[in-house]
Amino acid sequence: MAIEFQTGAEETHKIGEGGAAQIRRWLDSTYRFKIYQSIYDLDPTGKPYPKLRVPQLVASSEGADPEPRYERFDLIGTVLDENGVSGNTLYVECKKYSQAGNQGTLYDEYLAVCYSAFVHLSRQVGAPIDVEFMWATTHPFSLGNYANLTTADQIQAACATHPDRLGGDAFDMSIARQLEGRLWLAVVNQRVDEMIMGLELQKVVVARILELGR
Amino acid sequence: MTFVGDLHAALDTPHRDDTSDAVHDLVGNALRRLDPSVEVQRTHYFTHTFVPDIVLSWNHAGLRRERHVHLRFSVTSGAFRQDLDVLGSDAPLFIGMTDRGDLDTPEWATNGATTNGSLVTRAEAINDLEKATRAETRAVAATGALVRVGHGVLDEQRAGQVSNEYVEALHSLGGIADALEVTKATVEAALVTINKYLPEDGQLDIERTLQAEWIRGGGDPYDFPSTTPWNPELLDLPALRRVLRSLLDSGAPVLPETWQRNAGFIKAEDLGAVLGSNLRGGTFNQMAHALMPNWTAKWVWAERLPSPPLEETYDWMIDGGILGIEANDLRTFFADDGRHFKDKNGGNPLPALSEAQQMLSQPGLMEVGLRGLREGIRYEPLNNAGDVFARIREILSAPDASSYRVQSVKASVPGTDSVADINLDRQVIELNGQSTPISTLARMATRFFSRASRPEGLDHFLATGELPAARATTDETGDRAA
Repeated sequence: MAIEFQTGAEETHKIGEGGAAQIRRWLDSTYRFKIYQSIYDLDPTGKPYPKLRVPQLVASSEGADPEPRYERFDLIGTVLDENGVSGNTLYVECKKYSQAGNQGTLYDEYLAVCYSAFVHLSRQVGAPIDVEFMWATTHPFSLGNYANLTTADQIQAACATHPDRLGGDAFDMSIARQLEGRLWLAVVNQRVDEMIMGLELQKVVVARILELGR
Repeated sequence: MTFVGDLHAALDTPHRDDTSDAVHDLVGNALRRLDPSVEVQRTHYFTHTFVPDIVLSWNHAGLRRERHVHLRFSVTSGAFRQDLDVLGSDAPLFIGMTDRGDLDTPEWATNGATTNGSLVTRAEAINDLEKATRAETRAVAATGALVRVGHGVLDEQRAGQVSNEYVEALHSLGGIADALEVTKATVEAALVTINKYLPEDGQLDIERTLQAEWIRGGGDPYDFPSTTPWNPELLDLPALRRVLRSLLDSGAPVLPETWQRNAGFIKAEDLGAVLGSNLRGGTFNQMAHALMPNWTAKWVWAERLPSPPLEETYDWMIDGGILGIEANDLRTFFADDGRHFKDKNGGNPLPALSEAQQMLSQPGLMEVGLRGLREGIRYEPLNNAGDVFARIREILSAPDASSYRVQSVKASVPGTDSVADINLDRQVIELNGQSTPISTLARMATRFFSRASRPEGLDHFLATGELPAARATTDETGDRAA
């Protein structure tokens, strides 16, 4: 069966492009990530590439294949180790806010999406899938619970709030513990943007990278 | 599939590492086709904010130069302005891979932003430039300049215009003899169009390339519509080489005055370096004949071939960067700097005194160095010793005279006041710092080093630039017989 192209919120929400670009610039400047594509990088027909999609668990209805369900992230790339060696795939959800807003609510859904994708993808390969997820925002949120936002307990709570993301499966705490080590939470506000190396320093780093690549 | 089709297919590859590998290969190969002189190196970063996808490098005037290539999905959106701000100072090449936005008036340019030294283009434009190089391989001079140093915004419409006009200019050169003014106008139009996208040094490169093609097509360089009056003495080495090679490769006859105007200032010592590769005979003979009156040298080294050729041979040549002439069994090379010949040896046995009588019978001999079996070298000053023949006869009558061989000769240079030291062991003539006409030196070398020379044949070749009539007799039927 051909997979029909599903258009998500990010695909039509052009306002977020500046935020995604800002966060990408910061991620690139750390040289610990290689970001390959953003949701705003469109194919020749004007649609986003499917690489940013992750599958979700879906409850199977009797006798019929379940309708697949996907969620899209804003950026996709790779996590690099301290020597620049490529590691896990990284999906980044970018949020551009000038205040906390409803990020707490959205973040819970994001955690449930991450859990669902992690389970689905791991089942496909028969092992914990080599992916990581990042919530990168321009403004902090849920400050009272900030230290717990990437814990297994928080994932469990999020899944309890969004049971539809489990596709009828029972929540598995052991999977949540595997997932919690693969969650990143980053606040990239304007001042963090200012921490990015200036052009002259960047040139030195890039020159060194090119030299090492020869 | 076209480059654009291949690129879009590569971007659709499911795994992103495969995508970046495939895209880098495609773009790298396309850029190499547009400019075969560049070395293409991929960085394994894909659309990174700071690190280029590809680094192009090439040699220019002895220096290694680089240009970074940044791939972007869109080069028309407002967000691309940040890329120009962050990366523009290095004047990179930006290639948009998928967007179909308006590159003529892109979103990022609404505030009057410019590309500075960057070239902003996209896959479709690369496709059009490639089409031009497939249709006319000489178009790589134009596409290469754009890739290396091009700036501005080059969408497919502009790329098509630039490449089409350049190709048209190249093709117009075929009719230069019949339609000089039309060709001039076509070339001028092509230069005006491409110059919009090139800095000054790139414009100069293109102008010189077209000028070389102009010359190759039989045009006079002084008629070329260049921005500055034609002065070959102001050209850098690669440009001068290109002009002279074009003249040499031109199918049309090149007048002696054309050679004089374009290469008359080049010293014989420098000619090999200017031309840059070995040459022999053909159009180089014409060039040498036209320029020979200007050429002088201070050193000569000759190499005698193991046996003389079956037919008389006279050719000018450049071998190992040194100007030379081959006359039958002798290759004679000329230089101002004797170090060129410091490791050269003659490699031939010295002539016995009895064999060298003809060589020594010429006027102007001042001294002969002889080598006997036991006596080592014995110099016989002749300038005050009366008649040369008488002196030689005297030596020959001495016991063991047949063992004497001629090691060296000191002789006055015909037509000058200078003296040449001729070493027959190394087959070297040293002019003691006196610049001496090359024609004179060629004759001297033949006289002292050749065993199969025909002086009148060499004289004819030096005087006319043409081979002398074959040394043959004609029988009664008119058929030639050896």
